[in-house]
Amino acid sequence: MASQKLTVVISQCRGKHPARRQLEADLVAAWMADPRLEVSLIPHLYDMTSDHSGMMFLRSVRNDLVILAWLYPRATRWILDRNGVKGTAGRTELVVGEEPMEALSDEESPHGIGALDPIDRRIYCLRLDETVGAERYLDEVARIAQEVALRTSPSGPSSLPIAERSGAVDRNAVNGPIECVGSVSVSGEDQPVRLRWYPVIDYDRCTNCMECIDFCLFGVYGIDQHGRIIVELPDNCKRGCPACSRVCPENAILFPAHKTPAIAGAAGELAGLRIDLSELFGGATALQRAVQERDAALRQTGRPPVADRPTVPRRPTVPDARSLDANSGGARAQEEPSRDSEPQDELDELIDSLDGLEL
Amino acid sequence: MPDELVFPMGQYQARIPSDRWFSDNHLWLKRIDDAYRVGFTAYSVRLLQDVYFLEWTVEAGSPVERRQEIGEIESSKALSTLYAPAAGRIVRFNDELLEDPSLINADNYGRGWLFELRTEESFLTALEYVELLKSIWPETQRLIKGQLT
Ligand code: SF4
Ligand code: SF4
Repeated sequence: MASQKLTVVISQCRGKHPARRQLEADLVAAWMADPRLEVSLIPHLYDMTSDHSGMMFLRSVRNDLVILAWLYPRATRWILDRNGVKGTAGRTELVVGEEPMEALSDEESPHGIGALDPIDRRIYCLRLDETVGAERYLDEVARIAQEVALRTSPSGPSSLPIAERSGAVDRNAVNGPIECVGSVSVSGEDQPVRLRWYPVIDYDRCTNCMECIDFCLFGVYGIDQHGRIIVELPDNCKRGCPACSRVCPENAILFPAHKTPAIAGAAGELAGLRIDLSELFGGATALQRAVQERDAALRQTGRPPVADRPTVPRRPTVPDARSLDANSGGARAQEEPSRDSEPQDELDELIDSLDGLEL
Repeated sequence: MPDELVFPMGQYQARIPSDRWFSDNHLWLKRIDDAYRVGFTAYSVRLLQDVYFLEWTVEAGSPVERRQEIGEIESSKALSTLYAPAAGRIVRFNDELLEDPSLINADNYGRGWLFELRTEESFLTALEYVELLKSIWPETQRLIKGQLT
């Protein structure tokens, strides 16, 4: 077992945020000294293109993988997937605030079309957060290392050799004092990345309904040879325009760099914990907002807006099915009783269920 | 006309006082000199619940359009952008709230006021506002329910 090391990859933050860089450096320093681990640094996952050496390195890792990134785990997982880094989500136990830091729990029953060609190994995605002490990441990775060792012993598949710069740590990549006995591999620091902006599809949720491809007028989406929706030309996407994520009926479209946690891929529980009342206070509906955002992007590129063209057939909503559930039986719904009293009780239930969601 | 009307939201009774005006985006407006003092109605507060963050995205003194985005609010239950109830000029904000937004919960019709707006537009009476609440009630629930699932 000693021969098989667990690969731990840190995807670096954008920019030079000192506290974030420090956390990365602290983690690298600790893990380099750990003989069970093989630690690597790569640029920010979202910004690397598929042919970037950091991404090629990730594809070369065939056994279990721990990846720490400044992204929600769900975003990490599906960015990896779109770049051909396949595997099933490993369960993680590190919790920041109320959010379980796991990409997708095993219990969740996805109703989407799922990832293509998953391979039988675990990918553990951890979200980096500079307000979380390094020790908690160290503990969690130690726990994962033990879990992996137990699961893969005695003869697991071994990792392909990777280009490694023994003992040499790039000072730009990792600043801060690093005393090491082991080594860290730094992939792709010679290939600068630029800040990118594009949608990432969560195929555990995506039902292949094609609303996004109909909606986007910039040719970002495409269809692969299996007839599955894909993000074909990510860099055609307009920075700051998360419009299609509002149109997707399954909330399957992530913009990992968006400031709103739900759009950036926060776990459903976290994202769903708060309702957005903007519509109530005078804001546009989600579809109106999506159309506005898309049209603003069109105007920026000198194309005329199409707001009045009904390009998006609204998906049928099913509030009725749900209120039937809530009322346990259809009879009452049909009688149309005093409109005032019945729905009001439902609001209490709704608000109570919000209470119930709180941990 | 009674001093206040009540709109029942389930067990909760939202008080709608008759001494002021209301906008259709759930704010009250009360004449103060040449402007209106503006705050959240009990209906809004019930849906928001405990407010813990409030931020204005326009400066005091700014002219605003009806429905222009003017701020953000975050509460235990909701996040929302806030919009101007009418075209006019925001004369000032309630600085006390920036220190302690929970005043919105403690005293929404009093010390928890949000800003003062100078405007020529007209607004709804308490009675008209309660009628509006009745008519949008099913839609409001759908909005909330739609997001919960
Ligand atoms: S709109 Fe959403 S569910 Fe439909 S195909 Fe696009 S990503 Fe998938
Ligand atoms: S955000 Fe806008 S430009 Fe980008 S993919 Fe979606 S609709 Fe197209």
